[in-house]
Amino acid sequence: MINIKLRLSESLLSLFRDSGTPRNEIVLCRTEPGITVQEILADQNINPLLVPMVSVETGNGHQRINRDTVLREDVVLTLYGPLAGG
Amino acid sequence: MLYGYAGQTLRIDLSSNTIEREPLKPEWVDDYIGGRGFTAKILYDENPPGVDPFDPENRFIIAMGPLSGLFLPASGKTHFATKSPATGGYGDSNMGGHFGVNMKYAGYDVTVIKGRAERPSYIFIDNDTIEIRSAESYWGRTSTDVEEAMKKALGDDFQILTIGEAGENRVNFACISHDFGRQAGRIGIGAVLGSKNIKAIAVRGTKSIQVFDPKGLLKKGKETYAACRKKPGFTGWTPEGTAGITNWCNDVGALPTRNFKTSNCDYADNINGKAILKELKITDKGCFACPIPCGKYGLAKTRLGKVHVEGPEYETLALLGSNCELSDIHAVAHTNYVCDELGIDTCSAGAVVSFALECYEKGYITEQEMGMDVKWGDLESIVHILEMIARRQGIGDVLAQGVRSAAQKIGHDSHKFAIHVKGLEWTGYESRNAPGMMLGYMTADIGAHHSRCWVLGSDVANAVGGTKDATVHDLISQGADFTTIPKADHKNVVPLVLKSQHLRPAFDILGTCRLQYMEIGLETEYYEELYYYATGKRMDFNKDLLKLSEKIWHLNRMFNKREIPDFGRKYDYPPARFTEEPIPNGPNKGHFVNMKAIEEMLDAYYAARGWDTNGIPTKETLERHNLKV
Repeated sequence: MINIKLRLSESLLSLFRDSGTPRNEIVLCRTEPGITVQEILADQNINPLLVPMVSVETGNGHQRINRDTVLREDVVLTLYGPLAGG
Repeated sequence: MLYGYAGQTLRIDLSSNTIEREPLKPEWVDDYIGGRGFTAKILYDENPPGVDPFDPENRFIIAMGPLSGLFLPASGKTHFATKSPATGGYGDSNMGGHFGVNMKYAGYDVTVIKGRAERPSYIFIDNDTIEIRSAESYWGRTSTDVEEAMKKALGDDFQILTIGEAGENRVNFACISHDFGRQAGRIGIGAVLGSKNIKAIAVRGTKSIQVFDPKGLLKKGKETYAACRKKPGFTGWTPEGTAGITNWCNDVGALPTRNFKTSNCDYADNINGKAILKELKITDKGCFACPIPCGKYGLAKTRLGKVHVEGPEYETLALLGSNCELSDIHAVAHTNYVCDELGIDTCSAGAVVSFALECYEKGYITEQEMGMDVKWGDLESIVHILEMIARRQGIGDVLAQGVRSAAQKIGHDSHKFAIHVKGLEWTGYESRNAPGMMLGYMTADIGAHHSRCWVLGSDVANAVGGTKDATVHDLISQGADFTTIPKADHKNVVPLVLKSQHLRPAFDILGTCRLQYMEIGLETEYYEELYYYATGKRMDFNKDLLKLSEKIWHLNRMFNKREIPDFGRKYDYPPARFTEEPIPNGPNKGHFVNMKAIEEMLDAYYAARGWDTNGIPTKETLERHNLKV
């Protein structure tokens, strides 16, 4: 089993708040290795169309990853909602 | 003592060459706090009713907020307002950078400029020394050329605001440029400055600003930066900046493509944030005191040459990229550069150029009028049209008035694909399946602009589900592949639109960038505390600031009613393309918002606002907000 920590950004949290289903900023999951980011989102009932960007914490910062990335060890993922442009 | 404020209003009459300073009016501070609050109040009270936007009596107002310049996160916003030549109504625009901070440190929270200089001039402000100086040697030159030359002449510590050729030639979407890449882009603010024969304003401010509790403010400011850094959204915003949203907009069918004919393209990967990082970027660039520098400064290489440019931001990628079918990031960046140099708003520029390309495609503009055989997605064609507009050459003179006026002159059915509201061109979010976003655009006081309201994410959430009605696993079991989007329901969008319309512009009152709140999630308590330590006054974010933001909506609506003779409901309608043409392909294929839905949304919106069925605030509403207009 692997531990996955999800951090939800404000732009994602605000979508859930506005739809009447508020979420916590931090979500902890424990699952089998080999799961994809997309499957984690589905398990957490988060529509992938609401998550334009996912990043994984690395030793020296964050790295953007795709939703089809396979997770094989403990990770901290940050899920970003859509952001308004400038 | 007005803690948190510089304490003075600067009044400049260019016609009589008089300069006056007066104490900042306490009633402005008490009732309107700063920034957008000041500009709305002053423009309503002081602009002569019915004045032409290019009449010398039209005021050009610069205002900062109580948090501006206090070394708090992203407290470098400068707010500008005037009667807009694009809409004929209330117009404002703001920019980051360092200009407003220096205005405040020079001693001025508000500057009101009227009149017209006899010759091309610039305004020189060095603390208490204020002069109207000749700008004849700068007239006709590009924005960055002038900024560089003025810094060389005056010193690097001067902050320069300038217009380009488009402003000199009163192009209705001319912008103000600053800091080699920051713009107050919208509503033709640069054209009004040009009409006053003002090429630039140079300011150096080295005084101090008295705050109520310096130690408390310093401590809270440090805590605020630390809080920003801990938020999940902190690391995500900086790498790609606003361009990071490009693929998402394409995936949800909101990326304007081919003059808003459709809402997605097959080359979004070529013009997105990753492409900027890979192909263009040299360094990040941030505004005053910003913890998340979202600007990208880079080098674009095309057959037209190598150019340095800040950007493109998302709006530019959408409107000069996919909306003009330009599919190469270097080419889009080059058009960004051309707009910046000529002093044109990239949002309106993209909408106007794509409108011109469609008119040409349909034969409404001839090759002779256009001056060359222009094509979608062709860099030379787009640059050619931009230069014709800025210099008002040939058909450029018609296009320089924006798509609303141009459609009236070009005729045929061109008004149906002139994409604007109230005369201001639509920005980068195609909304035929985003009814909340569409209503936000329709009802914005300055015209179709996204910074007044952005509820696209909620529109998508409501359309795709997975938030409450059905789980994502339910959707998958029902065959959802997340590449098509169901039709969004237009009912019940009003509460979110109102919330966004009050929230997003609220930061323009304080003088800070909204991104720290909207995208990072900095709690309202920080703003309340920072405001207290700065001013010594208590402010409740929801009860006081958002209520004032709502009041300004009513005030600006009354300004529009006063200035536009037949103003009312019909000015809130979206372009016919959005109510008559289904989206032809992509995730939202077949969707559009019909007029019945538009009318229902407006009815609900007006009722919730306390406006009559023509969209005019009722007497009771005005009294409730203590507005004597």
